[in-house]
Amino acid sequence: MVKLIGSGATYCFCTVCIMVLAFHAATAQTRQQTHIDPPGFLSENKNADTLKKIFISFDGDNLTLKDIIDIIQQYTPFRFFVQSGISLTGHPVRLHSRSLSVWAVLDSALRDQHVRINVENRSISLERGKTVSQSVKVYVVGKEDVPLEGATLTLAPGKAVKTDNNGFATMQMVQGYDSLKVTYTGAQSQTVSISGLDSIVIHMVLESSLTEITVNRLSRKTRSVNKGEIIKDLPGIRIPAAGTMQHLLSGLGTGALSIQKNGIPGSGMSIFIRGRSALVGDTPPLYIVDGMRFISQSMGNIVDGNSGGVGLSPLALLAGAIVTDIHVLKDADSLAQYGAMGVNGVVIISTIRSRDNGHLSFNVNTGAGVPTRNIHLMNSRQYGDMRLEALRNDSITPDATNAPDLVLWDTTKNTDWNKNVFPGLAKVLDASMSASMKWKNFSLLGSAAYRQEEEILGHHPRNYLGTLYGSATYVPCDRMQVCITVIYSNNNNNQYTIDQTTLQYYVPSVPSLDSSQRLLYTVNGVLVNNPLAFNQYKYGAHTQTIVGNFGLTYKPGRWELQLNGGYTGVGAREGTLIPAMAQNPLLNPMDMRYSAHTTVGGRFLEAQLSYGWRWGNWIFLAGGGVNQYIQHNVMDAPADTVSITSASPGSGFTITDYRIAGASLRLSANAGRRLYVDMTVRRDVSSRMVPAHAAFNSVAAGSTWIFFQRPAGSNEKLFFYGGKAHLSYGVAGSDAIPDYSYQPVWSAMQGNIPTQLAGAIYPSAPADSSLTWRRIQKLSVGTTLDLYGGLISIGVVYYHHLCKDQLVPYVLPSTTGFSTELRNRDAVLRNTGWEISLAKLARKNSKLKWMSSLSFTMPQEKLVRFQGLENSYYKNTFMIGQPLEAVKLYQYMGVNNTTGYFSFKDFNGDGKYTDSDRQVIRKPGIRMYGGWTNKLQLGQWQLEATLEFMLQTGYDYLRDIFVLNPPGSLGSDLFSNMSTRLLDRWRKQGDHAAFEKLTTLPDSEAAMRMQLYLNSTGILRDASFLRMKLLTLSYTLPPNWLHKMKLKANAKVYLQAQNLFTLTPYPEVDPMLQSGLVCPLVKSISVGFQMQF
Amino acid sequence: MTINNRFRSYRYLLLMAAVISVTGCKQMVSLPDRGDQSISQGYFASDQKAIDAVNGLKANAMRENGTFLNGAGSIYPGMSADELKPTGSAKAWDDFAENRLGSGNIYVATIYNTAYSLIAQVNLVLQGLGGNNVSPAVCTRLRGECYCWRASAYCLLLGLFGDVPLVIGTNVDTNAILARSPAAIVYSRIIDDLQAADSLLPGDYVPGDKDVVSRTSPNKWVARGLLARIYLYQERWQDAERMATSVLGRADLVLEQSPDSVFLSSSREIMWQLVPWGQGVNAEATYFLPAGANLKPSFAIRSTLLNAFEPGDRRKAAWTATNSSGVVYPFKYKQRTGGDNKECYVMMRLAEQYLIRAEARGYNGDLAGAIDDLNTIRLRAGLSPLKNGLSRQEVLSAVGQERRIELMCEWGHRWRDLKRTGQADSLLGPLKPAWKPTAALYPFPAEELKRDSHLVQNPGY
Repeated sequence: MVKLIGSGATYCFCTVCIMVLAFHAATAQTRQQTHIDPPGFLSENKNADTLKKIFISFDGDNLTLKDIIDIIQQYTPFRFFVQSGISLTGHPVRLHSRSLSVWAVLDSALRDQHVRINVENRSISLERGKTVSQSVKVYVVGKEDVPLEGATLTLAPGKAVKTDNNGFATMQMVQGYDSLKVTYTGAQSQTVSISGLDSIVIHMVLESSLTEITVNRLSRKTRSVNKGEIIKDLPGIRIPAAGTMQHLLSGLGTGALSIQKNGIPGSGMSIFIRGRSALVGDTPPLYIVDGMRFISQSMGNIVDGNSGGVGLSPLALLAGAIVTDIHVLKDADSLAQYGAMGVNGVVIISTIRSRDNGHLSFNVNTGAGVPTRNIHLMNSRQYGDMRLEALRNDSITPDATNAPDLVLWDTTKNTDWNKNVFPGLAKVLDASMSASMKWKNFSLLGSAAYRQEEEILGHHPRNYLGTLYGSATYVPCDRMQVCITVIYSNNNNNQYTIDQTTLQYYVPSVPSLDSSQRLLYTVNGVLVNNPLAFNQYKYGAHTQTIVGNFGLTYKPGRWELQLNGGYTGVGAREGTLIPAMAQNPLLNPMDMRYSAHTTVGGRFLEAQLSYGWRWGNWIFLAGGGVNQYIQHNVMDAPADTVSITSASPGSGFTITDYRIAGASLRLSANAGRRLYVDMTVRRDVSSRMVPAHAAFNSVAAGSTWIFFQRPAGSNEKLFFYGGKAHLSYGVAGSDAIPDYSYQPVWSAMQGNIPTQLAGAIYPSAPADSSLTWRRIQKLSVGTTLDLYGGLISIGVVYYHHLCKDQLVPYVLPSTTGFSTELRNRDAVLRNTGWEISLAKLARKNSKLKWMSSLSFTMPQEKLVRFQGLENSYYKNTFMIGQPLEAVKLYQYMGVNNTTGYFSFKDFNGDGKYTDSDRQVIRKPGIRMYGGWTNKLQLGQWQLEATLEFMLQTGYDYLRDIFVLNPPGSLGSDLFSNMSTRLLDRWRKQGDHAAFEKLTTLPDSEAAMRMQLYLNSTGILRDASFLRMKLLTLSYTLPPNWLHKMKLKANAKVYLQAQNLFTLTPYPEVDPMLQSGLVCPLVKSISVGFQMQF
Repeated sequence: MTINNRFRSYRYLLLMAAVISVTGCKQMVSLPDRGDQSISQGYFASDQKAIDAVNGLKANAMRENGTFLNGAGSIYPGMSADELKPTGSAKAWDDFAENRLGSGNIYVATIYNTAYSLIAQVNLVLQGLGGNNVSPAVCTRLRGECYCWRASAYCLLLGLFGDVPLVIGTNVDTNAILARSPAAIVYSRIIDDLQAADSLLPGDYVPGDKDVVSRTSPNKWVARGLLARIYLYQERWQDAERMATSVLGRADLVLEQSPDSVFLSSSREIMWQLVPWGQGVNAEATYFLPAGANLKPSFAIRSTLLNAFEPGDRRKAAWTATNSSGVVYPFKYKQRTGGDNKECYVMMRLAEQYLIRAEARGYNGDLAGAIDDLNTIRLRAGLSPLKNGLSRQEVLSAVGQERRIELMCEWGHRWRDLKRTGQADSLLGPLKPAWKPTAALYPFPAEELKRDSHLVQNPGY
């Protein structure tokens, strides 16, 4: 792909290049403001200035100089004087343009002749002179027009130059040579003719499998104009191409916090971009896959059938193999184009595209995983001691009623439930292939990925994922492009109905099988849950996802028209069977089935038009567009069902609709490639709001100023190499409230209602017509400096978000018939933070290449205002001037070594612990998070290591466990075993212990102290950690090995470890989960092989 | 080939802006009409839709076990009085049996929440019926039914909490800041509702066919029966006798011959019953009957109640049962699984009306009539009739004894009777060490006090 441009035509080229699309939401190739201006194309000719300001349209092949002169004389006041000897009929040219300057036209027509142009008033004289082109200016770019530094240009033997950091080089012509060979690591070399040109832009096709893409992403040129986006460096893509989106979405860079809540494959994760913007609930970003708004809501509807309550996320189930890059948009200006949909940030996921002439590639990866960290539980003897001691402390004699576990059961029996729940290695197999071809104006690409992943729990239930991908691009001419993409994903999930992690707390001495290996439900007359019974429960979720998208771009002259549309559909069928054999036979059980079928479909349509022009030093682009998104949900699920085989329409059938539309106008301006200014106004209308408040107007403005740029040709070792500053401000609205909130909603009664009441309805939500938009005001300023020859880059960003008119569930008393109602509160939440990133690039010519990038974010959250907090339900939940998580706690003073009780500071000295002693304000939460990636390359070897770190305070995971079952007591569900940490407890006078003396009585002094402890500083833990998130060692097979086997291919083997180690002061469980009740994260090691033809 | 005047382009831009502002209007987000699938519009638009909304009351009342009208009304007051004792060691249940409830008790909260959720639903249905789209005949009947629902709910609430917030409207803001209304005002609203229901409701019982259970909607006799109960509680003896008399002696409302068949869904003694969900088993059966032959039932009948049965009382054999380890439990409902609606859930039955009239007649001086009514009940129980010539005091205490046995473990009658006859302190005090006079009223849930700042807690909590 070579674009040849004569010097005269550059004006037009520039205009197109700086076109910033007014609205990108559905742009097939989400292009992000890649402003390119090949330097030095316009030759400085003072005389020619007037000619440059007159524009003219040309459309014709084989136009001779005479034709051109005739046309110019006909439509302009200029008259020509042509010196003899200049050929008027030779060198015909082809011109198709509607806005070329007279200068540009003449320049094209005369480029092969040695002609000098002189302009005086309205006379143009053409005189014979020296050749215009003694040298050729060459400009080398890669994907998305990113300039490529270090490309080698060879014209003649010994005559080679390298492009500078702007991708620019000047090539002196050599007599007798006119074909230029361009080579660049990681790209196919090209040979182009430069005969008669004075400048040329060369597009290199990069092979996506090589690390150099990342180098380019870090290069200064892209960064210099990017204001707010993070481009995720995707180690998982280039090397192993394994995993799901769940893996790719962790560690998105500064300002984007992703928290995994559960280690079960396919379970959802929370992503917060520049903090949480709502007082209550998550504020998930908008996910855009190939320009389509992706449905990422949880699809699990069966009460306890969804990955331990976290829900199956269709996004997490998308194959990673089809993803090329992930962009995160954070600042007001870049989010403006998404309006209300993107108010919490936007994650743009781009898939592979066919841009080359055809390839075929394979990747296979297999490995196994174990839990990262887990609890050490007491054995049967330790457990028995704990129980006996607790009863003794309460002066209770164990009997069959209060201690069946000690009196009736065989206390020497020791079942290691931990081992039962996490029996060993969980295997993963991941394979993908892709192929592309190009035929005339068509490019086609197809890809297939398959993944089979086992849970680390129990009998390793499996998650199967298959993804098919196809894209077709048709480029009939330079002005037009049509692209269609289809992704289909099919997931079968056979996980357990409950998160079995809780089963590890089962009493170790409980008998579970009788002598004939049948499940026991009564043990010596005591009814028990049988933990093994859960293994007999069947759950299956079959989720199908389809994303279809088309895009059409048409660029007549300075206009650009875009049409985009698409459909995203997710359908999930879930079913659970609780067989009679897994239930207590004494209860006359029957097989119980639950099923649910949920489908969500979203349609998007968008049209936009933009126009670019130039005024002096300024280049402008104005545009506008309209778009509409329609979502339709059908949920067919029994709420609480007994033996329903299939839910039929009419009972438990709910349909909800949601629509949002927007119109926007955008103006972008660029002054001399130094100052960029963008402004957007937008109006969104949402169906969720009462019609009177349905619309919200948002505005955003952003500016980037490149205040220093290394002068061309200056010393590469220049310390201060480049710098830019950016500023962005905007106000946007969020419509994230449930559908139909403003009107009373009556819903069909769901479940197994009596037949004679079929069709019964009930009021499910109160109406509030005063609901309005939540307003979010975003400001960010930042600067980026490139130092030391451009090898080191430092970026600092400060953001300041004010989230106003908070929508807060107004907690209602029962007398209203409802529990909550959403209200707009006069409450303001402030999110501020510093984002710092440091990058070090590898020296091009060094043998050992080392690249490193460190980034971290220091977020801060503060509730600035909450009108009427003192009289509201939230008076004990929130504190003004503090983060949302801040709590007032008792000051923990350790375990009293005389009494054996937890003790606390009695602030008011009244000898009692009351609410007035709860005075210590603590702020659990994240103080800093970030990542550090290092890459080393030596010869054929590459090593890549990504570290993840977080500074945070959290709660001890024991808090949740103590609430369920205080230590020493026997809970009715028998989940009563404890961590061996409880061995460090007070037993007798003088003991210095971490935990107080045990009790079984709910109203004893010790139990009361336990409640205080759970609300004291003693339950907080430092949950900071440093984790080796990803470690990859790969070896690229030397090409000559493959050539010997007559294979024209690249191949690579690699070894990869995920979550290899975690350094943390947090006790026992994973510091990110901070819970002993959910499935731990997985530590895995895998090997893989990748080959490309 | 023309000269391109670039300034002409601005006109295109203005045109484009105009197009956008016109198309970016609210029509792009107007939602399609999906009929009655999810949006409130369209409700109460026809007779059937109004009936669906009233069916929603019946369905919601029986939706979950242990809620206000599905089990809670018998179990918790039964424990608070001298009828039942939990066999397990759940503290939240023990607190009922020991009369040492705390405002954090989750079951108290469940009773309160589900009661008001039902009342709010009744109020919303009544509001919906105020529209013009339902035919007058259907609207009249449905309104009458709603009044009966509301009156029964408040009657039960008063028996548990004393003065309660009186919710009769649908405005969320108003209802969120309600204070408690004095019981007298609530009673007068109940009487208004029931008198309205009396005039609105038809007097017939439509016999159900084989598959459909009958008597599932309150009718005129239910309204009057409830009125009789309220008048009795208010000691308006004349009114109570008049109301009970108007219900008694009808051909379609008669006592069943055998105590065993009283609670079958086909029983002609039933004035109003609700249809359970799922397998057709009501919550009382689920709570009272043990899950298996060798398993302990959750609640045991206190020995004081067992000892109160006269020898030869057929009700003892019919309405109590003993498990293998000798625990005696209530056995009025007998189906714990696969009920197929052989038993529904009896909201009101005729026997109570005889007892109401007997008591009222006792106070009105018609001792012979009172003894007559008592004997009707005793005869069915296989007991010898009471002799004429008993003193008024003896008649009244015989009424108390008969109510205790006939209505045992049923809708908290015993709990309310103990309180209204002033026997709570003298009978429960010796039985339960933690008894305090203030325990006669349940605490308001702590969470509710937090949510409604005008709500004041009962004394003693």
